[in-house]
Amino acid sequence: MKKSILFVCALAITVAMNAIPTQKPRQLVKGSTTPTFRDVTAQLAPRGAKKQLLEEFKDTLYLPYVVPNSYQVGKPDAGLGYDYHGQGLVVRYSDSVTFYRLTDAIRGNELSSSWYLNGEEVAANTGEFKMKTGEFKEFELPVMKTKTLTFNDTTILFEDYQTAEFFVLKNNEARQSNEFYNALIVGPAYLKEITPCAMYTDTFTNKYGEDYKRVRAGSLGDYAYGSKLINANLSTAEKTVYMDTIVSLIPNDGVMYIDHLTLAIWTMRDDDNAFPGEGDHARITIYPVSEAGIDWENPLGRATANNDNYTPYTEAYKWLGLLQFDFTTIDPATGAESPTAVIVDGNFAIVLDEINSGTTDFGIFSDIYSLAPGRTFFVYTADGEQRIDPYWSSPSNLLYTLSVLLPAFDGPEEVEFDLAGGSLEFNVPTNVWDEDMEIDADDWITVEMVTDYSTEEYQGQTYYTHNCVNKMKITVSENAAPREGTIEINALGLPITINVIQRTQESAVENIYMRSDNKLYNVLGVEVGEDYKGVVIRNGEKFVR
Amino acid sequence: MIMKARYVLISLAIATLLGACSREEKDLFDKSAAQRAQVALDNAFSILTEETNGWEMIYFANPESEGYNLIMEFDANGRVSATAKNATTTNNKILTDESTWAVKNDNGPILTFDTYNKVFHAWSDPRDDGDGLLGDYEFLILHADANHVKLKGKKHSAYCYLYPMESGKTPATYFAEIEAARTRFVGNGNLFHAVTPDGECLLNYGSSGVFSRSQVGEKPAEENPELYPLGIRTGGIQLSLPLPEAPDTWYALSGSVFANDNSSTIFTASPAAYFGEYTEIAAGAWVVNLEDINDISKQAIDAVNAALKKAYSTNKKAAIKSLAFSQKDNGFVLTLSYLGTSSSKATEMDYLYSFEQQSGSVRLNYLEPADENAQKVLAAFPSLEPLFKSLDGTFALAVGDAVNPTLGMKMTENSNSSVWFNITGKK
Repeated sequence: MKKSILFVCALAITVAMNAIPTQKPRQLVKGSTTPTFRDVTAQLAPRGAKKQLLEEFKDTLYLPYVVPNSYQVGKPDAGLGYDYHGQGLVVRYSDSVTFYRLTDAIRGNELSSSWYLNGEEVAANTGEFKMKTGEFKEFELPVMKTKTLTFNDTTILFEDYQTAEFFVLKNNEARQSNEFYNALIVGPAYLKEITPCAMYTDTFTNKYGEDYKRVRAGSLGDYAYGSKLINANLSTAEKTVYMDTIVSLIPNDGVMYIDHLTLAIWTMRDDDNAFPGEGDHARITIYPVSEAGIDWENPLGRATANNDNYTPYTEAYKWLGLLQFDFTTIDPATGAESPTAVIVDGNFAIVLDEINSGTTDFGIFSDIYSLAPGRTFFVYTADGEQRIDPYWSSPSNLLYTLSVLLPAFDGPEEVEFDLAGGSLEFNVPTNVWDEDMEIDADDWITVEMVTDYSTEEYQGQTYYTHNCVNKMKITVSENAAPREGTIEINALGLPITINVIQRTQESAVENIYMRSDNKLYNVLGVEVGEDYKGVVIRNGEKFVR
Repeated sequence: MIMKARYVLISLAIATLLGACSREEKDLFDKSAAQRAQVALDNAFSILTEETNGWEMIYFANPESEGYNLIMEFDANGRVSATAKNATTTNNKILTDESTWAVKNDNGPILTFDTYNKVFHAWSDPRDDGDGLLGDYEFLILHADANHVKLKGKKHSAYCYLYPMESGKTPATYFAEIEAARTRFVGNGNLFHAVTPDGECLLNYGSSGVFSRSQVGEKPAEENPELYPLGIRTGGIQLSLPLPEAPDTWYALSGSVFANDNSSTIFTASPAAYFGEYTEIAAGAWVVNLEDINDISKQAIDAVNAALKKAYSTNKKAAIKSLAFSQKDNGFVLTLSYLGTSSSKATEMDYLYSFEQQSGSVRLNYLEPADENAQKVLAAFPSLEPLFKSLDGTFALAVGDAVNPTLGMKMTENSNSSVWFNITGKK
């Protein structure tokens, strides 16, 4: 790869960080040979963990705002929701309803668990369970009134609406169809481990004919956020509840470079047209989140998706697939729209809206990787039509997959040269490619950055892997007098500053170490203020600010 | 009497048959199978060890793998040295290792690298996925003489070819020459015509080091393309498998054409034809050299750059980054790439051109912006239009190296020689 010399103004990202108890600050260890990447798993609740934030929020939202519907009362083989994550099935009151464990019937497995209602066992291991659930009630779509949210909020206000009574039926194999919520999603349900330095060149081509030359942080889908409490079937069938807005709050520590985002969906059609009406689309907006809440006024990025952005999972199952959201930016000078990435620093919210267009015809699918084509479930739509639908979860998780990089850069904080100048070369642990680094330095400082990478051929494609090291060379010209300068690097949103000091070899500086005047001096012996950053000496002690 | 005669006749018949069965067959070979195998092994052993300069090996790990270059040195004590340099197994560094080798009879003469060699076994190492690069370390010896050894991988059935190394050539020199040859022959994704007794076809070089074969005028199949892996030697191209009706796999460079002993040739089309083929068949792009270009275009470029710097005043690097012709879904386009809002990530816009091949020349004519965004950019920077029109004309093409036109061609307007520009291929 050619050497590249980049001189660019640094970007400053100033989104406030939210204080989540399990945050782990990013470490830049001077002089270490291995990068200290963020331990992403530490900050996010593993599945089933009792995390104060998530649980409180969920407890508040889940029960009151669940709006289920669509049981075909009395029909012996009505499909029921399947709670993949064992969260329990929220069922509205209705006439006698028979719940079936369809998976057992089809798979022929041993019956595995009893039926629990509100925590109490109401039936033993049986394949079916009948109960009277009360009077069926109509409902309306709750409209969210609260616009400001914080992580500590436990109350979401909705406009007045009519709710249905409900109970919680827990059974690991129960399955429910057509359950609708207008809910707020709290945090990720699970996170797949990513390898920070494993990046691949993917020849994936989107519908615009754009080739993705690199996919950061592993292959597409390696970094997944699942959200709780969402199952939205956006069909045009009667008694359907439409989702207005779905908000996912994502805790995040540090800088995240989001290349693009996909959402797993399934359509109600046999073709791949999730948006049959002209102009139909869904929209994703990413907002920064701070202690003050979601900053609705300053979105970090926005993307829309329509049929052009829908890729069926397989040829056989065109009604399952991925909806891809590619962020775009409007050039202020020309008004032209062009692709961009979104850089977030800290917590953020993913807001999905503009999906209730009337002709939109897709449902949000929870976990496309759990697809089991051999399993058949019968689902009755509100008009009585029987459909054979794939397995999906309910209450399901909103499966966002973000193609991201968590940039890390473990370079020196300060470098020193004598007045003769010269060059310093070193290997910098990082996962950011050289050409993605914007480097700006004083005129007398030259910076070269070259990524160490390797290639691999696989099935006719070439894959490029970043070896987690960039070779960095800093060159400084000769000068008659000491001087200081800086190198500002923007590594996909991660700001890095390297101080460059050119000084004499004279022992004048040594005098600084003999002073005990409690003043702060830099290594050149110049007195500096308390806000100075770099190597300083006070009372003979040298340390880094 | 008749009964006795019958008995005699039957006895005679039996005696005749028995005599026929006991007659000895004449041997087709004068040695037994085991003896023949041993002769082959002894021959191979001698051939490999007597070549004091070592062997240039073109190693195809498996039938879909590109050919990798190795330098192999076999000694009679059973030691072998392997040297390689490639991006896949040595991280582009020259790496050498020694181990042992042997020839043995195992349903045929077998060459085996029977102790671990970190250079050679890199391809056969199963790695974490259990497959690795699917290479072989044991080979059936198909042919061995002082000029050429041909092997076949025992497990994956890919062929390997060995040729004597030139005397006195160091590994650094050898691999540098191979890299230079690779760039020259197939750099930027060269596209060849192949003429064999079976007819003519196209060979499209991909980044994974293999040719994809297609009919003339057609792109290679997207699903299950017909693959012909190749390796590079300084003197030509070594195919892993022969082309249809062309049994030889070695094509030596002769002038600007690669040819084999059976009158099959591999060559590139004439420059004007190649211009179109490269964009249509090979999906390549022709990048216009902005530094070395005619005066009118240069003035237009300067005007655009000035406008960009003014519009994006906070970006010190605002400027045109590249102009490239290619074939896209919406037609033949010139892609403008410029740095505007970002100083590292370029913005790209497409502008439609008409393209026609005319008797050895190429006619280009600017039409319009390809989409709404391109129209907006043009409206914001009207000085782009003179730039686009400065590339209009009917151009004769002069190729720098006929072996590989992608390395550079000069386009000169037929009726006005002051209108010219240079292009190089990019895939």
